Amino acid sequence: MSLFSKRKKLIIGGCSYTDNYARQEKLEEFPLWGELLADKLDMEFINLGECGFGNKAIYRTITERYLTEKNVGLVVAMWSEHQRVSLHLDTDDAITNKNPWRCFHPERIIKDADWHDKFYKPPARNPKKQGLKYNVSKMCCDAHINSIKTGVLETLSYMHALQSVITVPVLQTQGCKPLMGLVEHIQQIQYKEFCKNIINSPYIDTMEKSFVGWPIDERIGGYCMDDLLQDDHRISEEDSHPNADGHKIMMEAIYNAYEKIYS
Amino acid sequence: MRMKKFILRCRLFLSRFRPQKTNQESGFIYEVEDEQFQTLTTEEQAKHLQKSWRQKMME
Repeated sequence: MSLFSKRKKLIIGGCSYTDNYARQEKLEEFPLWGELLADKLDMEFINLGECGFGNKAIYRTITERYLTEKNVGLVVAMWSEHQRVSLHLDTDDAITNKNPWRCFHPERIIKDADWHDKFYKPPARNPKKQGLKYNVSKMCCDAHINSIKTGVLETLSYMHALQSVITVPVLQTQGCKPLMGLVEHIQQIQYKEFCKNIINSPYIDTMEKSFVGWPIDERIGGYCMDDLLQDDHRISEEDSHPNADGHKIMMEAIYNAYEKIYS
Repeated sequence: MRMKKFILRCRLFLSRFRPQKTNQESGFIYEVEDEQFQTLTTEEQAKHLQKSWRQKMME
C-alpha cells in the first residue's frame, strides 16, 4: 500500500463474521467478505472487526476511526448479537489500553460458569465465577438489565447514530443471528419479542436506506447475513461461522446493495 | 409509519403459521452432547477437560 495512494478507503467493523476468525482458530485461512469487497470496489481495506465484539464496540471503533481517516469511500458495519455487553476499560496498563474492549454475552458467561460448578467443592471455588466478566454478567442477569428490549433498542440507536455520523456512503447489516441460540420453543418466544421491539421502536422508518436486510428478522420480512448461509457455507457442523463460500455470499449481498443504493 | 407498523404486525402474526429455522448453538462446552462424555464420572470429565485444554494450549 503506497503512502500516497489515491484509492478510497473501505472501513468495516463487526464481530467474528467480519474479523479473521479462521486465523484466530488456527484454521486454513480464506479471503474475508471485507477483502473481497475492497478488491471489487478497488478500495484500500481497513478491517476493525474483532471476534466477540458487541455492538457498542462495533459502533465506537468504526465511528472513531472514520472521524480520523481521510478519503473514506465506504463504511460497512456488520452488527453482532444485540445482548452482548461491551465494556471499554481504562487502566494504566499499556497492553490493556491497546485492546480496551471486553465484550461478552452475559447469559453465556453464566451458563458456562454454572456448568463448571460440578468440578469444584464447594462450587464457590469455581474460578469461572470470579472476575470482571462474571461479575458484570451476574449483575446483568440478576437485575434484568440486559433484556431483549434493552439490547434491541441500544443496538438500533447505534445503527441510527452510525448512519447519521457517516457522511460518505454507508451500509449496515446484521451478521450473526441477533439473539443467542436457545432451544426451539424459547427461541420462538424470544424472536417474537425481538420483532415486536423493532416494530414499536422509533427507528423502524429510519434504517431502510442504508440497511441490507432491514428489518433484520425473516418473520417481519427482513434477514441477517446468517440467514443467507446454508450448511455448506459454514466452517463445520459444530462451528456455524461462515467459511470461504459463506464470505463470498455475504460480500455479494453487500455489493449488490451498494450498487443499488450508491451507483 | 402507522401503516408500515400495521403491515409488519400482520407479517409477524402470519409468521406463526410458517416453519421457522432455529439456530441452537452447539459449540460451547455446556452444550456438549457427547454420550461418552456424559457417562464419565465428574472426576473423569474434569481430567478429560483439562487434557483437551492443555492440548489446545500446546497447539
